[in-house]
Amino acid sequence: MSLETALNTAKMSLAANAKQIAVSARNVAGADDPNYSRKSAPTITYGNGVVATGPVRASDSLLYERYLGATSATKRDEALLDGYTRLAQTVGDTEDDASLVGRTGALVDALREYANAPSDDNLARAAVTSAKDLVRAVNDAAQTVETLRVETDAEIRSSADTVSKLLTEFEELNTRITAGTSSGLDVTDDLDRRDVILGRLSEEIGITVVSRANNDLVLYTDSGVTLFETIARSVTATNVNPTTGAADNPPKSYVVIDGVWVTGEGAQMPLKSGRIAGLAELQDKQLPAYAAQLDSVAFGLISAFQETDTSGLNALAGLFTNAGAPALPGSSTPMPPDSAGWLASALSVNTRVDPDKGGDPTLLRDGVNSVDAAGNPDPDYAHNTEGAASYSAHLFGLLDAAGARQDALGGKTLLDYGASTVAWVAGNRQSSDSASKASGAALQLLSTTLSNARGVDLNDEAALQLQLERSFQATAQVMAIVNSLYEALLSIVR
Amino acid sequence: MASNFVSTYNLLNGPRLFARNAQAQVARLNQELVTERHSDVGLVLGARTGKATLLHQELAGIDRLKAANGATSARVGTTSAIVSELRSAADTFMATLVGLPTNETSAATVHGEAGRNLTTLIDKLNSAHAGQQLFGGVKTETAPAKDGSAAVDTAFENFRTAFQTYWTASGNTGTATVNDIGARELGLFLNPVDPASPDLAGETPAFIALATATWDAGANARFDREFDAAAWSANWSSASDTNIKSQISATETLTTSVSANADPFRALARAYSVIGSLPADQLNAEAFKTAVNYAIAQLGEAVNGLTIEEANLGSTQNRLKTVNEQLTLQRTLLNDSLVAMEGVDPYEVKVKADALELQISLSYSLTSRLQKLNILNYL
Repeated sequence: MSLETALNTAKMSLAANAKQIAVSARNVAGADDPNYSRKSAPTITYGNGVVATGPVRASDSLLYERYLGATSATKRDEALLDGYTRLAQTVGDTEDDASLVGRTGALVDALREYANAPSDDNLARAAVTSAKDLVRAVNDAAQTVETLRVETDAEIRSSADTVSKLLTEFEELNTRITAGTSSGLDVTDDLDRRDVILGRLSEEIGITVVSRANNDLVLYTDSGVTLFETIARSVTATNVNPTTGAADNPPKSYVVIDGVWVTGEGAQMPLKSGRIAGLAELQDKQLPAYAAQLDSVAFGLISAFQETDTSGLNALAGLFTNAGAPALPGSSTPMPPDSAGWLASALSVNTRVDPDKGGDPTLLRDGVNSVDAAGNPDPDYAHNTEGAASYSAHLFGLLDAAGARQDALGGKTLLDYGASTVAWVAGNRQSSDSASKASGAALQLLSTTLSNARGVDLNDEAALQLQLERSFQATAQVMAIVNSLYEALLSIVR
Repeated sequence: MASNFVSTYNLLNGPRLFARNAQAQVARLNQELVTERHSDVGLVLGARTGKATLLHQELAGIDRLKAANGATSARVGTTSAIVSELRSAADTFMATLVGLPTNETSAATVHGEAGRNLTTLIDKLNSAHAGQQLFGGVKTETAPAKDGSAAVDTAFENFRTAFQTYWTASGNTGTATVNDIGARELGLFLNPVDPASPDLAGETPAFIALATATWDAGANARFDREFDAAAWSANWSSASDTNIKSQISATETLTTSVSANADPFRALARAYSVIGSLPADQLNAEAFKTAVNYAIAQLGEAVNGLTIEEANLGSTQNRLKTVNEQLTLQRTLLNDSLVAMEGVDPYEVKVKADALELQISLSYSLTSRLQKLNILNYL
């Protein structure tokens, strides 16, 4: 033991102290960043003194994985909830009668009023106006679904794009980290940055993380497809609908990772969570299901108001038509469940009764087809043979048909089917909302726990700095003492 | 250690996050307090939203039905009043006929009265309510009744030609006057008898010939035929046989009009025509009595029929009243179940909103205190 040793120890202590202060300063700087993880430089004894190692990150990889999982689940639920909320706009509030039920009911009421006073042309107009309102509601709902499908497709593409870009960034960082770790460099900030990328990845797609030597990470989707191993795998969205653009044929994209289909019908390893999974669920199941329901409503309307000729063998479209065609929707028309909202967007009020298109609303009373296309009476479809102003039998027949159960609607009446459509949307929205709330709450809790596990407490850092300041002063004191001892020794020699 | 550690980020952001959520909640609760309904009904009811929209729809339907029933009831009321007026006029005329002394003055009086009654009948059958013909059946745009007495006159002229032949064949000379028509012969005009009928056995060939002439459809010389369905539609009425039907509730449909083609009106027209259109004042006493008896029989039939029509209209009105009362009750029940589904308890909401506001102000003061709670302030 010599004074030399004491001075050396003090020097080492100063160096360790400086490093610890530097790390603490970084912690203070990162206190506001939720993605920053607390660093520390624990001291270890080395020779006759101490050295500050590291820096080391405070982290909890198990907790972080749970956080990633919760993020993916939340994003999936949010994507679904967004979709349902948009669909719920086609239903509206129960009170404002803008839903299919409200409009159908208003049409039935208007028809009944007209049937009770068939000589009143204003009531005929009112009934046709109600029918147009109903058609507009069905068309608008179909349009909303259509828009949503186009948007969902775009979102899936951009989401797949984001995943692809993030993976490239991830690859760069991961390479730097593994190289840095093996050569003993400080990679803690890169690790933080890599965690941020993981967090953003988990928003788009559910991931599982496996760690290997040298801080190397391997990423799999939650369904088991390799996303990243040493190098990033390809993530693409493939359009599977070649005739995109037609109103009845919205674009549709399936996501392929590393050559494996992970969304869509017949996906080999379907994704379970993340935004992409939610969007795919919307695109492939929920939106087509709603579109098919709207088509059924349109089909139900056309067939309820169809008119049969005197022979009872032939029928023509009545008040409602398929894109204005006098014929009933037949084998060439796409039918539910594959129809994809085609009929719902093509539903229209027969121009013969539409006063805005030069039609005569009172034809509703006498039979829409009682005059042919050229305007000449068609005896095969004539109902009001007396030409009576208050003839109502045909209208009452229409009312009966509108209130009848239909096989095409699963044995339900138009109103009941409309109500079940409303119930479908609202029920899905409610359950998706509560799922989203639950996963959101879990995520909130996990981020709080995670922030506590790896975040910075400024008070803690301040206390630590005080402690370091004291230790610096003590070391300086030691050096001063050694210095004075040397002074004393040297003055003897002099 | 980890469980004791709270990061500065959490410490400062925790209360702020709460305040943000709570403010959204307060806005929602305040809205619910005013409307007393859930602010987002679809989200709260979920799959039951379908049922709620149906209930709303039924409510709207009931309101419209009630309004329509009110209009129908007014129309039926007017119809009923007119039928009742016609019935009492028929009653009065019948009383006059029954107590009629057989002299020429009285014959002239009733002849005029019957003519006026016939005009009144036609006018009344052309009554309209709110621009709609009441007795036209479903043909509510054209006045249904018109005066068909000209055709009756023609028939009588034809009868007189046949009677002239009979008069000559019976050994009389010269031109027969109306006064010469006997009760039996007039009987043939009013109620023709099949000449082949055994009732006419033993009658003179001339009388049989007269019976044949009145019976023959082509000769157009019989009174009753002027009031059968075909002649009535051609000369008296353009009404439709189909009556107006009204749907008064979701499931119930009623007939709510009376057609001018109904039997009682035809009986009335027969009764008034036989006295008013035919030259009843010129008939001899016996024949006049036959005409009066015929008229009394027809009036009796008409009064009976009109009473039945009145009763039907009355019960329709009564039914409309009952249905509207039921609809009002149903409306109340529907409203109650809607309130139960969509409504919120305002007291509960108020308490919740107050509690939230308290929590928010607490969280604000906590935030500012936490900001001060820093070790640097105490060094």
